[in-house]
Amino acid sequence: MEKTHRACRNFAPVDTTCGICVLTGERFGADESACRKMTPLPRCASCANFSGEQSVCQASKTGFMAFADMSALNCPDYSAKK
Amino acid sequence: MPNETAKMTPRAEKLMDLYLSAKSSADIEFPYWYTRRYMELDNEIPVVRRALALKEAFSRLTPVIFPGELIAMQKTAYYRGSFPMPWLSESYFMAKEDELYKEALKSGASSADEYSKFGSGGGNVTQSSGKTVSIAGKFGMRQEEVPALLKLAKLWQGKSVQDVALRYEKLVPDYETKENIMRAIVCMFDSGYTLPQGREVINYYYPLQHGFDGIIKIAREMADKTAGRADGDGLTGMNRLYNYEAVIRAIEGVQNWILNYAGQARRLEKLSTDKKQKLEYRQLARRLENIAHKPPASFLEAVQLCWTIHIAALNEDAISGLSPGRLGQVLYPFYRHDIDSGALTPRQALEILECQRIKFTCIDCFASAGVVGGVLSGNTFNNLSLGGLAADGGPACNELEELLIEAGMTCKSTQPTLSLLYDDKLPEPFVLKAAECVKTGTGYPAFVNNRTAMSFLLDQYRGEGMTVREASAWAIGGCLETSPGSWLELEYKGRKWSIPGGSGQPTSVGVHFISLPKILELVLNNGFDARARLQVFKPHGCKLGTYEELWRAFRNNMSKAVEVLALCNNIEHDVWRKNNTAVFNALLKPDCLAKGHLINELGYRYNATYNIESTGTVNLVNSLSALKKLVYDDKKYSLAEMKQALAENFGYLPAQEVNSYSLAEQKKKAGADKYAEIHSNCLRAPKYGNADEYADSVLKEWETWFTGECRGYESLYGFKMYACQISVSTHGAMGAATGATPDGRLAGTTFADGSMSAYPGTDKNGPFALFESAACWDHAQSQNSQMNIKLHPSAVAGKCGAKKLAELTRAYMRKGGFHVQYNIVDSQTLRDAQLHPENYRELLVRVAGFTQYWVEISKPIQDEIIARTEYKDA
Repeated sequence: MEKTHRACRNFAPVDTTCGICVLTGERFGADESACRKMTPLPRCASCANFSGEQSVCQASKTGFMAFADMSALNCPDYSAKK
Repeated sequence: MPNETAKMTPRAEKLMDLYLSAKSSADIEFPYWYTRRYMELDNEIPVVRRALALKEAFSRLTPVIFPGELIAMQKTAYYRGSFPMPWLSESYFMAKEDELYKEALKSGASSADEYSKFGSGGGNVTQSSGKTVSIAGKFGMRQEEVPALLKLAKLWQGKSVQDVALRYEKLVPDYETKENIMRAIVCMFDSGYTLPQGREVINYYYPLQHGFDGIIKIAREMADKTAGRADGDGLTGMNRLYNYEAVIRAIEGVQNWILNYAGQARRLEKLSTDKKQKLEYRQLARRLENIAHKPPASFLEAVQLCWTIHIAALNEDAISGLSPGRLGQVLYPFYRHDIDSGALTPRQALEILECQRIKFTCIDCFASAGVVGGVLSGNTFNNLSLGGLAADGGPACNELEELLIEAGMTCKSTQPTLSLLYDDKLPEPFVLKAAECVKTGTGYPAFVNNRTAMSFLLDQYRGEGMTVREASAWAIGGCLETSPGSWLELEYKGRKWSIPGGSGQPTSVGVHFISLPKILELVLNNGFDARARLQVFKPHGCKLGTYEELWRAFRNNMSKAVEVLALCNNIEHDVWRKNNTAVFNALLKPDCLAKGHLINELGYRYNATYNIESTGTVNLVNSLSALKKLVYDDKKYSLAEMKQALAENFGYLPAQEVNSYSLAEQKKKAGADKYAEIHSNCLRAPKYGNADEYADSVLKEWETWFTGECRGYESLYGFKMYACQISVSTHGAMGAATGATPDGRLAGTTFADGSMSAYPGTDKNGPFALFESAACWDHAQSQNSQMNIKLHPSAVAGKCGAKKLAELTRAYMRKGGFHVQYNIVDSQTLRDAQLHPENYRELLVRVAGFTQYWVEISKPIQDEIIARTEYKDA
């Protein structure tokens, strides 16, 4: 799994390249390595319903497209891969 | 008023720094969920289908709260975020090699994109780098998302408003002329799928009075009363049930969105180790939890609710110019209560208003390069109006409005820009406060004429029941669009207040920006455009032997353009209202909740809002004046000689060859002095802006005809249209596509801005002569007119400076001028800023109806601002 700041739930993204850690208030590059306190942001990539090969959400009624990088924080069908 | 307010508050300063470092960023979270739900709902009633898709998208957005924020929530997870809406138009952000993009070019829909430029600094992402892909020349998107965006866009292929409308537009007789007009950039862009809403005033009243739960209760009760009943309206009576259902679903989505933010605030409260920050997160969570359901219980809650409503409406549709209207008057009951009860101090209120400014400045609108760069210059025109008259006919300004001006001085930012609705009844200290703000170089407030606007509104909306009292509730929507409003009674903590709010449809939709100098160029060339190599209009075959013949041929071509554009844009908007109507923005406006009809079924109180926009008025007037003088009256040159000189660009190299469309950078061909004399005489011909009867009579004749002509076209809602005379930034892109003009302007260079600003360097008799010229026609016949003036700081320096500025403004208003705004800046500063943009990230300039960061506007527009006549004595 990606261990960058942008993959952390405590990262507030200012734009596509940088953001702020809400725990420390420090600014970081989005793609810099995260610290040990990283809390993964739920994403399609880490969801059991995501079929990476077909790029679809299997929980969707219509087999709708999905993509790995998508935030799934408020997705009702999110189920973390075990 | 607080005395210690010369500087921005520390909290706002931190957030402003964050804004200044942020790049415009787009993501596809909202479009993903919207599309996914929409595609699941085949055969659902269209308005309900749309509302359910909106609910899904709002409910799923990832909430992000930035440390130190008093006012939370933004359009996307990014601080300065936006997103594409492929259900409106999917083609422009596709890869250029894609077939969709090629089709867009063919129909002329993307022609203006090619001539539209962005400033290369500030928050614009003009080039891809690292993991960021530049889209539409302005927005950065993570490269991981781009393939998914293209997949989503393809799902809308053939279904977007643009694509569906195009199928039907092609059935309009003479559609080919419309395509040619777009390809030749006679018209800047289509209306119905680019920015179908906006240039209007939002209305915050219902959530402020009833809360979202209260609105749902009203909608449920009304649905019960109307379910299955036509009530005499066999066409749309039954729709009321579906409309109320849609209203409820859209609100539920917005409530979920707010509560998700409240949940994030609760989470951050738990995580935070800083006591003060922990408390602020807790208080923020409480405010959000309350406004998700109930009316606000404090000034800060009211500010938060208004902000949330604002961005919810912006997320519903591609919108520029959604103005908060007379927000200081809307929020005053909450402010007054909290001040009187000791719950709030003016200093605290100022901090809140500064934070509000930063939030508004963060608003971006995702649209094509032609729209965002060529028209908007990256601005989104959330214009806040001040002053005007109250419901009882007295001056409407208040202490909170003074604080709003103060916040505009301490927290200089592009939005909300400010407009003062000038009326002689306004107290002098209030007008002087506004003048003091202008003196700081912000470019705001603009001054607009309250009485002229009221006259226009009474004339335009009389058929829909507009009264003098109701006319006084107006405000500016967008950069300078006179927009109708209404007075609504707000009860707060036992007191009743009449507050103004928007009650009309978008007021700047219809025919978007016709280039008047381009029309003249086509008249002179028998309908043929040399740049695009197109026969745009059928050859008129007239020899143009007299000025009257020329003037008649011009009117004919103009009428032909307006007619076919109006018909095609009516179809675009009709497709929009059928498939993509506003639900959330609509439920806010009187009288949708009462009638059960949304915008698409004339639910708004005022619907006669469609317009015909022009650009390049002064270049047209000066050109007609030069032709009249040099060719027809004095017979100094034949028309053929004049046309030859124009075709040869008066001996200058083509702008394309110089690789610049800027006024300042044109170069003469070596040894090409053949046209020097005619060019000199064209430049010396009578010019607008000098109180010269010869040129002013041409302006008057044009305005009398144009404002009357516009009334002859009908919008899709069955109302007469009107003239709108602002340039925004189109004078850059449209100038770039137009050849040399008989007034001496060189090919490809920027037109004069606005509609009443003099062409740079041609107003030689001072500002009062300029006013004399501008006021030679009745401005109340048009939705607006626009005049920008550049003053050297020395002209208004010292204690008397504000007084001089107020007197100058008053002189124009009393002559009947509609609008004037000032750039108080030294041209030397601007030249240095062009050379060293890195030193001027925060420099603000007034463009045409809006204030923008210097580094975010294109070079042709920068050059035009530098070239504007600089008055050293007001």
